[in-house]
Amino acid sequence: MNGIVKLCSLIVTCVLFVPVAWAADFKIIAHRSVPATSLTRNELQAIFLGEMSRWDDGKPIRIVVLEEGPVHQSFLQSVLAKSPSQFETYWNKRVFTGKGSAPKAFAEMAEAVDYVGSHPGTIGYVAAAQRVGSIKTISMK
Amino acid sequence: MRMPLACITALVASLTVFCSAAGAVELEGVDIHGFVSQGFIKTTKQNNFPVSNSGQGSFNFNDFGINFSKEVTPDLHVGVQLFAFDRGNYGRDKIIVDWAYGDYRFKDWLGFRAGKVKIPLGLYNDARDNDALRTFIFLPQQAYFDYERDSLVAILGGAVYGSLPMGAAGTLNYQLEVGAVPAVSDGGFAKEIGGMVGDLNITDISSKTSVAHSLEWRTPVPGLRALVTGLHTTLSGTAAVDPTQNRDGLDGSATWKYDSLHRYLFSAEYSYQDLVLSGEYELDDYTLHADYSNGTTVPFNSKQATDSWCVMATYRLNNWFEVGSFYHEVYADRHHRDGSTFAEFNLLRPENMWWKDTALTLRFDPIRHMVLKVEGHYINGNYEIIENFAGAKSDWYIFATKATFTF
Repeated sequence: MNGIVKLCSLIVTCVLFVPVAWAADFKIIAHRSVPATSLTRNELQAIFLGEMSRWDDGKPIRIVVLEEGPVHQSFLQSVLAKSPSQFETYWNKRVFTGKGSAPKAFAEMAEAVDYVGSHPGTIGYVAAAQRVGSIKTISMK
Repeated sequence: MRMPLACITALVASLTVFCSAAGAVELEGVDIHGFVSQGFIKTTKQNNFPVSNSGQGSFNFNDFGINFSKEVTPDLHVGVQLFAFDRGNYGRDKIIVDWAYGDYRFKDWLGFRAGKVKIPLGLYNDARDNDALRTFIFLPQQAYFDYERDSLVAILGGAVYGSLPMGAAGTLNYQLEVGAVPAVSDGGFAKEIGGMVGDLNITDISSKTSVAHSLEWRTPVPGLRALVTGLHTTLSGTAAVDPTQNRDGLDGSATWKYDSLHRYLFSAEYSYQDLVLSGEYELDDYTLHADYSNGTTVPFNSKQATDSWCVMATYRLNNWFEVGSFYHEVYADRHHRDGSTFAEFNLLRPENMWWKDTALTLRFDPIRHMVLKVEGHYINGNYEIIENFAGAKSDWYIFATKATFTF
């Protein structure tokens, strides 16, 4: 009985805190023209699902994502509550119903950093340890 | 296969092979995407569903599509998708414009679309043409009826849509579409109507102004969303006696009306990591009328009140393998679920009035842009069967496989 209680406690702990642990694995980066300095999880969700299309200054939002890997998985799960395959299917549904174009995806984080740094209005994510130079980082509220 | 379809298939296949790793082709700012899907289906010999000759085993089971879209400005998009599918006696690989519209997003909470717009019914209707976008080959049939996909999946007209953030309460996404339902007289839906009013061949279909709506609530609980969607339409037209199917002794022609269809779907979906659980409940109310020109046949009038529900679960075990299952029940008369409504008139067997479908699917993604599926259904009842209804077995199976290539 005691073992079952411990097992249940472990499962509940994992369910509640794994997303928080994942959240530490990545950081949000953006082009220096982006006016936001911090975003809520709901705002990030709306941005990466294509529902929020403009920054507060009216400029269009562009998003970039990673193609695969643990950082990609960590970001999607903790911010969007989606697995990589669910996220890909979500955007493919938009593509095949004419509701949007899939976000630009990069295999290498350095490529994503370069792209974000050179395209106004762009937001993305990379590993927390990734060097991003003078590119803006955005905190999660 | 007609020449234009052969060209489209060759184009899609070529682009699939040569497309970039990102999965899209871009020409002069125009994004091009497509899919080719070919399957094989075998059902219990007497039950041809939803492919007309599936009882014998059939390859008349395919879907092809290609779309072109362009971002004219960040707020203005235009696009078109050409689509063809074959299910034996309907579809027949005839190329149609699946959707084609201009989309102007004035604000995130208010956008406009005009053209041919897919109807956002339930979790799957607007994206059901591309097999790669879901786990299952066949979705629960009452909500996503294969015979209706040539007629009740899009609206010709206009739409408004938007996204409303509600802070801690989540997000609301809405769509409202108004226009005409572009039903066709030589399609699967026409077969359905013709069968219901006395084995007639539908010769003309038109719709009154129709409305479709969708309200999605993405809740504050991560991975949980709920939808209420609906379609409201009236269709009418003419029909002629089919001499090869005339079991009711009719002659001449008829006028018919599929009156005041009110279809509602209530859907919920919860995803936790690689597990997705979902459920849907559907209500259909409409009245079917037919008047026959011979002057002797009593006019047909039938008020329909059907409902259905389903529960679905999918789990992705790794990058290349996913398993899914669902259970689905449909009742022709939700007020008499035992099938007694028509049985008491000795018209139909009780099991003709329901449909209980248990499905299991294995999905494989061996490489990017390629999906293979194997699926089995055990079904009790045959309410959804349209062709050769009289001789259908009440306990039967569907076995289907499909290979889909997409870019």
